[in-house]
Amino acid sequence: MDKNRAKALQEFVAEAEDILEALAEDLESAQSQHEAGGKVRPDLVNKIFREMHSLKGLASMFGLQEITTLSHDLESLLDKIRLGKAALSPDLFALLRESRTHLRAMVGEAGEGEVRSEAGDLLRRIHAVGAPPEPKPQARGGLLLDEQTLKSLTEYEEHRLKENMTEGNRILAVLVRFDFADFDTRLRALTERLSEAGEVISTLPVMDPSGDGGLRFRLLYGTTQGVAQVQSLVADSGAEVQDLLPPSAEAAPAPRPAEDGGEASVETAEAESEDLRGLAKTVKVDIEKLDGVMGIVGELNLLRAAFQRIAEGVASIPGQRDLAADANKQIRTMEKKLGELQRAIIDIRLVPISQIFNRLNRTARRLARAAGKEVSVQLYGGDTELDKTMMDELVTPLIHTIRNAIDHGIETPGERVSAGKGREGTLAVSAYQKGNSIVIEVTDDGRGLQVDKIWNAAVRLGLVGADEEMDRERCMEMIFRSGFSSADEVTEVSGRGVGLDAVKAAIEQLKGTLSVWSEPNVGTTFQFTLPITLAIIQSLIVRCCDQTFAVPISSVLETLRTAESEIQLVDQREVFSLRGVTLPLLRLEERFRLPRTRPREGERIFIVVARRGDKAAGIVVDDMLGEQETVVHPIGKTFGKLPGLAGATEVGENQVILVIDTASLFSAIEPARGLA
Amino acid sequence: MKAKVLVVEDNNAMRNLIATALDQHLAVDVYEAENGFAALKLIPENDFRMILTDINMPDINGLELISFLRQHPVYRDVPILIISTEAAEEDRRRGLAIGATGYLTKPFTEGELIDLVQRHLP
Repeated sequence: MDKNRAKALQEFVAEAEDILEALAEDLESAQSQHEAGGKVRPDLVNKIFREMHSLKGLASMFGLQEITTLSHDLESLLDKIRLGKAALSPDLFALLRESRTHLRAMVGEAGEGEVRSEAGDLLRRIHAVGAPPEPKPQARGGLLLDEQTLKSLTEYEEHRLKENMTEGNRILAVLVRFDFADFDTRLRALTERLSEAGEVISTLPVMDPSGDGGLRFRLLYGTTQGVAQVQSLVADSGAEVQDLLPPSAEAAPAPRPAEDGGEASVETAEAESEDLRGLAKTVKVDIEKLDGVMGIVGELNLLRAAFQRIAEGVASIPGQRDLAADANKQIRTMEKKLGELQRAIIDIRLVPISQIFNRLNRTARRLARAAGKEVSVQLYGGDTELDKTMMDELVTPLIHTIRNAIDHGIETPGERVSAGKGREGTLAVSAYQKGNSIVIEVTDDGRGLQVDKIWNAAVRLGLVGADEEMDRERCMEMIFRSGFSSADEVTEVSGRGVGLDAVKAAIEQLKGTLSVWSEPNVGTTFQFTLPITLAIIQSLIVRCCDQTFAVPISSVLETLRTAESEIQLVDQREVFSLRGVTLPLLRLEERFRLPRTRPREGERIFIVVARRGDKAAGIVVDDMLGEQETVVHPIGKTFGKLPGLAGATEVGENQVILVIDTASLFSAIEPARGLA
Repeated sequence: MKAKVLVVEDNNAMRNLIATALDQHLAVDVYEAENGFAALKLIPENDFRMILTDINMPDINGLELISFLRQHPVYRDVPILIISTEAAEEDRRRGLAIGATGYLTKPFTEGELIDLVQRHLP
């Protein structure tokens, strides 16, 4: 088999496997819905149909005739099912499952070069299906449907509309207007909510005559609920609900709670909850809600501290020692339970990294194609879990690192052969947990960092003196410098002015670190180390000018107690000498313009030595109050942009304090010479 | 400036294929949308000279998108091509009835795609 064909087939196998996996899952839930009540949610049937449709398209694109034929016939069968022209049955589910297994085998064979399995028997059985369910009387009379909606219905949607009418459901129009900026998320949320109590049959965007930059949508909705109930269900979206099918004699009215209809509605409610129970094994939770819950846990911790103080007070009352001891015991239990609660909430925020692996895989393959390189992409540790918000922030830096590896690391097939390597390069992304951190590595087996090229570029940019001797370590640091590029020219895929410095900054924003390992002609590994969650951080609590601040422990290198007289002035800047190394200093009172209401007592000051990129700098504070676990809340837009602040947190006595972001705090310090 | 063309298709592989083919053979800037929402986001911000759309998509289907575009003052006359399957004859008919310019049935060859687009590109 020729190399290109083999590569193309590998791509086919990866895509087809994704589809077949989704198909397996959907078939399983469809079957359990069918077993539970003889019915399957129409949107699920439609999804299965579309999956088969995608598979067929994919197979025909790659010229795989056998797979195309089988998936085509299955698609036609599923089309009939979704249009109500064929009925689902246990036998049919068995046939679909067998067909899927067969398709999977065929896909595997295609990847090896030749499809050997035959589908003759399955095809015969698929063709044998077709007896439609007993025809139901269909009525369309009386439906007040506007022409535009009617004309925009697909055949499937029209079928769903008829089905809803046949079942005696109400047909409603839900009209809503959303701002352009967030219409997709808001419309999706509305659709999800409506789907809990009925079926959204179609969603028609309509031009907004007012031209106020918003978008209007007209949803066609089938439900057993009344207009008022639906209206209250969607009240917060400002939607308007209209009845398109006023109740008539022929349509059986849906049971509604009424004084004399109590029993019937209870039955319906039970049936409905039974139905929901079958479906809802998972719930989606807005991450902000989880932050809210985490905040409450923080407040409970404060309450616990307050109880602790009360217990201490009780202990000092003569004759109440036993009572105090008892209270202390309960408080300790409470502390333990609060810890468990906090861990459980963090656990909910965690998602497997496999969620982004597919995207990385696809992007990597596309980039490799664009760069004319042959690259095998390998992903390891997909079940490693980390914080959802962190995951979202990780995609861009990871993709940039992958770009960098494909663009600068992996050589062209010709270059690889000359270097005595296989034509195809390997790019591996692996994730694993290490203590309380997550490590993600992006490794390529390319040419490695070209130290001499990097050094020359550094000399050219004036980062090092022309007469200095080349230093490997310093080269590795250099690639993370802002604006640094060793590429001779800007290439198709990377080097558009976004350098590794941006990757490093993004990782530092997530309180993580980035390091690189490289060996000429062997390859390069970029290693990201990140905390599992950012929701809770260990902080050092400090005071300055009667104000309290929290400094994330992850950025603190050490703390020292010293005297004002130890601070020296070099070039008009305050510095401090620590074990022979000069540290630039920064005063919180100057940075945040804090008024000093009373002079500091004596000479004593504290210096928090914190990380500033690869270097260190000192923050001068009046006092240090110890470490504490803090829940960081984002602060309002006004303050959010204030450099030096990461957010706010609460500590003892219901006090809100600001959390310092050392990276942006130090950004004001110009690069000074001779720093550690 | 190259003409901008939008491809709306929820199947990644199919969308990639179409976008790549247009990109390689025609002097156009290809924009991709994986569903109706993504298309609605792109449409007001870009002056597309042609739109290719699938019909059977979740949330907002191709017919609904065509219907919207045909009321839109800027897109009233922009060519819209339907990409659909052979089986979806009824949906294709409906698409043409509400204002689609032409259609292409899957599976199609690269040549057929380029021919059709070239024919309708203003």
